Amino acid sequence: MVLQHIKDAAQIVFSSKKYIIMAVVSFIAFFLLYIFTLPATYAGGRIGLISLRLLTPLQGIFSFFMALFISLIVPFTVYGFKRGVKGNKASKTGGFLVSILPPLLCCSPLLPTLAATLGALSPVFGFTSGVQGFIATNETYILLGATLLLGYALLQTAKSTKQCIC
Amino acid sequence: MILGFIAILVVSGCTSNTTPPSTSKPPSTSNSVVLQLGAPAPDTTFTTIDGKEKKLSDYRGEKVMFWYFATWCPSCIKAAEVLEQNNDKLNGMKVIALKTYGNAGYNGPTISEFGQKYSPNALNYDNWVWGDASQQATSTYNSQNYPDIYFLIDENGILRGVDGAPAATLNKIVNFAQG
Repeated sequence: MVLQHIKDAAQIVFSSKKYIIMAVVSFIAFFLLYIFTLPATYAGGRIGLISLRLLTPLQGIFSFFMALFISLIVPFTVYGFKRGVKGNKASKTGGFLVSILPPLLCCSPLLPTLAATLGALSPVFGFTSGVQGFIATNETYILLGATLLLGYALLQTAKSTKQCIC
Repeated sequence: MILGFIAILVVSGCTSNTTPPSTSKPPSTSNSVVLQLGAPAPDTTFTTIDGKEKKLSDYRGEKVMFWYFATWCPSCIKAAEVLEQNNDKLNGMKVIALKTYGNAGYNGPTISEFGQKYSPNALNYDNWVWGDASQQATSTYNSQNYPDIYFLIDENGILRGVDGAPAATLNKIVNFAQG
């Protein structure tokens, strides 16, 4: 049922070659983005070639599926937009941000630096350490949530795309 | 645009150090103790995994990697695995692996549980010392409460380097150990 919506939408959208190209480019771009950013959790927030050495199989799987979902959402959304269909921006943006933030926040100086800056205003340091710990120990679930959110966004976009051909 | 964003991320990752403290400027610490590269590393105490009280100065005459970490931290878990696998490249350098006081603000396994789970062989390596950092040791070396920070100290007790995420900075550690 769910796959049928996506399959139908893909048949409609990918009848045009430019949307196929858009999907391929999106997939490559976002897959690269994910495989470089997700291992930041093991690299103290570093993003670079070191990421490829520290990438775990699970992170590779998450990278693949999240990039796949986004690479379908992008052409579906553009196709719908050109036909005046309004999409749910919140679930798309939310899924993307939720997937990217954990590896950048965990074990990097980002939160402590923010905390140190805010420290002059309020004693928040203990709180941000707790946030880092929570993110670190629940990262798999957070990434799973992000993937599901993107999957939900893809489904909604697919349904919208089907509706706009009437 | 997206490719441009990725390129910026990758390039910035290659050219700048975003891990806890930079190598050229140690983290700020308590007012009474100054950490400075090229200056003597302040002495401090910690408790080893078998309950012995030790001082950093007990290891004078040996190169030391003085590592503070939280046992919930993913980069620390990865580091424990990577350092264990590469122990033969460390040239006998002392690796003092300490659970930072308060575990950087979040619950996690004990230092013993951490070692047994992620670095079991290193628990028996002669050049490794596992333990818990005292509050004083943590306020001296890790007052910012980073979950993953290490200091490289030479045979004369001089602080030569500071960084985080050993798995990502292994070359730096190996170069120091072999240099």
